[in-house]
Amino acid sequence: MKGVDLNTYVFDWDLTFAALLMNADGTIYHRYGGRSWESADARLSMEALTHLLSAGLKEDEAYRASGKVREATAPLPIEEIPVFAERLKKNKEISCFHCHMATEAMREQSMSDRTWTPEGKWIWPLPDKLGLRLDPANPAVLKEVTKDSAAAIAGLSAGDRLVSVNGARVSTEPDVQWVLHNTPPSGGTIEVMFARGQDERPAKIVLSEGWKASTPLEYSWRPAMWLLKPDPGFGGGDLPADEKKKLGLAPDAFAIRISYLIDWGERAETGRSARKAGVQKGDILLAVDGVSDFRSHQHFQTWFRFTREAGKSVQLKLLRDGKPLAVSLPVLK
Amino acid sequence: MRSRLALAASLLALALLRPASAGGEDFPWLTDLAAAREESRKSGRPMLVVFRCES
Repeated sequence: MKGVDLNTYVFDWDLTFAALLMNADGTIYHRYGGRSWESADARLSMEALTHLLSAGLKEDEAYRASGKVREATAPLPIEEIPVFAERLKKNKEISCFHCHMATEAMREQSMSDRTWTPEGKWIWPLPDKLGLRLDPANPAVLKEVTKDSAAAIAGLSAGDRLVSVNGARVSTEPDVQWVLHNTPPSGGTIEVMFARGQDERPAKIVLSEGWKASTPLEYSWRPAMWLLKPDPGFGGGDLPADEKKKLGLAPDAFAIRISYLIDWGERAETGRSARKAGVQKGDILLAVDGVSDFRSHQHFQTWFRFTREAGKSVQLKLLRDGKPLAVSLPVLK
Repeated sequence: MRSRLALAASLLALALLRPASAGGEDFPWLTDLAAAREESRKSGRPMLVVFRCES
């Protein structure tokens, strides 16, 4: 991302793959990419991308014919965000700027400017938040509408085709996400134009306070998750199926092998605290406070950060050398 | 999708300018974003800008 203007090339920078269909004045016609917690390519489709390219060329022709020109904005490369520039001065070895660093630098700058609110972490919500599941091969078409969801209440049904959302034409899932990203967590109304058969109809999707909040599972793939507090002070990867079998665990049971206790940086105290409580490298974590329905170690780590409170203790259910062990772990700030 | 993802995987940022005869493997991928934008400006053609973070 070195030198990339963050005021122009705006997308979900947490993604490992994203594409922008745009013109030379910086106008973005459509965004492509997007993912869910399930996998990095769960929402991608070559068919959708091919369709988008074809549709985008027509939109470009229409844009140029309209005589519109995007108003230029001041460029903002990541290396000019003050908190990031400061970090670069201290650590000259940072040479490759990953996309997710842009999200994190913006967040840190907002904290430094005292404009940050906890709701600021709810970025680029999927249409699932409205109760919409789009067809991956043809994302303008609604594959499912969740019963009693905001979209269902607005009158949308499976098979309907989104034409526009808040006036922006819809060809991709991130086209909808862009509108949702710019809708405040306090709620609002999304103006939708959709087609059912030959008819085009309007609908209003009403979003209430708190609509934007992610569940730990939904948020678990975002790199910024690791920056949140409190953290348990330890971590490790998901236990492979064959090792679960040897331990008599179900194939879909949550189990992580603790491979590190944090002993570096500003959070070293959390690792020391975990060690003092009795956690050891090599232990298998099975449950925390009786909760064991985690889908992955990232899910557990996000859940811990979202739901546990500093100043209290959590009860860990561990296996060590195949034998059960209970540990009470203080949660640090 | 996977093969196209792999194609873009080795670079941080790529820009594709639609050639006059758009034909699969002949797509001229450019890796200098500013140069691609300038080329787009000169040619009047839109860009597909792909970001593929290595991690």
